[in-house]
Amino acid sequence: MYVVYTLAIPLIASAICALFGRKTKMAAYAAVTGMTLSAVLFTANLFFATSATAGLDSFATTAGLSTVGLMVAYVVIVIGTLVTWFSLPYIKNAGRIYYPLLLIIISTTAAAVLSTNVATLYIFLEIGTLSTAILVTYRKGRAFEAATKFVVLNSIGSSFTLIALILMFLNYGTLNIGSFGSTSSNAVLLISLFLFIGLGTKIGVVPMHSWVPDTYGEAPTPVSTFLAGTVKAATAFILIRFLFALHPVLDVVLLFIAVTAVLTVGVGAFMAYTQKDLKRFLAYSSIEQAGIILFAVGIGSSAALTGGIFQIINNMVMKSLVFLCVGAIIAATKQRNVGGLGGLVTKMPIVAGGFLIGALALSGIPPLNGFISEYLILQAGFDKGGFYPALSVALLVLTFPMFAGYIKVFQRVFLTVDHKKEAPGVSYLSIYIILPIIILSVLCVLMGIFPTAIVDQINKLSLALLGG
Amino acid sequence: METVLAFGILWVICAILIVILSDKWATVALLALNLIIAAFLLTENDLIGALVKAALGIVSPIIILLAIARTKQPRPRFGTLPLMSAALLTLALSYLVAFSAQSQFPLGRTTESYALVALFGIAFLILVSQRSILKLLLGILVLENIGTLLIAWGANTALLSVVAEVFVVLITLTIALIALMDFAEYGSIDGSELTNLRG
Repeated sequence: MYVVYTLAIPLIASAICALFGRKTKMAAYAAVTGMTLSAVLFTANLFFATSATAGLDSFATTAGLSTVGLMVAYVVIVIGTLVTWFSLPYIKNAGRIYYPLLLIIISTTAAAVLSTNVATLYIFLEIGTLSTAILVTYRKGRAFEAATKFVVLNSIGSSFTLIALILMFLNYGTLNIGSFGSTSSNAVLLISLFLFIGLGTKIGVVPMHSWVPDTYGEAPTPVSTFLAGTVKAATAFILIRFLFALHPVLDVVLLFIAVTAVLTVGVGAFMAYTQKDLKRFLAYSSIEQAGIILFAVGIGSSAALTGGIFQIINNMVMKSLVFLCVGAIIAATKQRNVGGLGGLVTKMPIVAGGFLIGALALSGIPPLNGFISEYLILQAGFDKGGFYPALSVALLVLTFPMFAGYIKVFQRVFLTVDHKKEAPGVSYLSIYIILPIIILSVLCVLMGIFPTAIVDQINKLSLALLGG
Repeated sequence: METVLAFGILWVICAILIVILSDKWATVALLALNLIIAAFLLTENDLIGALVKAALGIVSPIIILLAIARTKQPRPRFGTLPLMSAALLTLALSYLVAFSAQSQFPLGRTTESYALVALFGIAFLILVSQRSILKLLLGILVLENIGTLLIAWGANTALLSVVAEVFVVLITLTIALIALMDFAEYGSIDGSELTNLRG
């Protein structure tokens, strides 16, 4: 039961925020309280309430929810809580829509991750997509254009997803993916392609990625953080769960996904390197990260899926960290162009440290968490044989521009001091901005040094997904 | 393969009609399509699906017509070359899918399957050849209709019918709302004129 409470609390808090209307401070505090309560209850449920696990399992099953996705849903709720804290000082004039919609997006993302039912999955995905579209318009002006690209492309993706989900029901005769038997390979091919195009659009796979830089660039930074770090990774998790629920999984589909993933990494990394706007830089880097996750899906072995799901959880932490650091820079300096910044390491040491940890983790540098998951994925690629070793090498080579991009951005924003230019003024940063950065930095390090507990759990899930 | 050819040509004609008609008449064409599908559902003994489709299938076109009324602007002429290449591409796609999957695709009901491929072709053609946000919305709604037909022919559950149709209306509302915002900001709902961001 606890898990349902934890998902219901943000929705209730969302309704309360909506009731506060233009009393934005009250709405903000209601949102922060609701999300914190949800995260605390979820933590208690996961780590302390062992006696409730049996009850939780049976309730979750009847509600069409899966306990195996709890770990991912937990990270969604935790990141959502940190993003809500961050919003408190960052969003000065939240208006009527900001907090209600943010909380709806957080809770529907967590619910979609837990969903094992074709109908509930579609409902949660759609509510999340439409709420995001409205929230992206928050800053007005150019944000309308970004919202247009987001909603049109994602609605096309939703239509493909809907068709895939209905085809699943038609072919397997049940709404519950846990009860899927086997069907003809033609049907699996069709469902897989529709599912990949539908969910791939939401993940930002090349060539359906054009909405990503505009949306992440124009949405308020906390929203960009949650979209890039969490919603994208959660959607990739949903893709894994539904794709590997199909029997038989076709090698040709996996190879297609792997090739698309390598292309996605290449386009994301090269485009990121050329960006001067910090948020657009991170947006393209999130496309590159999506490619790495999808490459694990394309390999399709249990080792690759373990690496892929660990990369999904890591991506939520790492990407949220760097986005929040950029948000802190924007909040302190009112600038987001790399050229207008410099020498911030002495003025914002915690943010500089957080960004460095996040960037190194995203680049797969040991001993941080990104290294473990990316190593597992590449190792699985080399082990699989066929085209996969060559694709793994290509993937590895294509990630270099991204690493170079992170070094360039860190050097220019935090280290370089141009004495000819006036140094950017830095204003005081609230504890609600600094604390999430510290928590996520610590998580990046801890998950890298002590990955065993998480990897063991994920390994069980991977084996279960492949029917092992 | 004659059936495929007949459906292929039929939907190319339908799609070209929707594409070249004014937004208003294209929306009326969508309304007609929705009502035809509702009638189909009735013949399939899916009463709830038919009622939901008839009721909500009217709502979406009304929302679009309201949006059209509030966004009066010279509509861009369609490009002949992209239209023809898209038509040829989707016709080829129709053959390819129907030929490779034969009678197993996707329902085991051959004629209906071709009709679905045809509907997919219409949506595809609109989505690749159009720049107006409202025309793109029409394409999305045609695509969603495939879901409606699949539910009726194979799944036949009231839950899925209602869920799918309610979200069709919500998608229409959201895109129409954002189109109005675009018009207020840029004076246009033509995607090729929204160029402040670089994609």
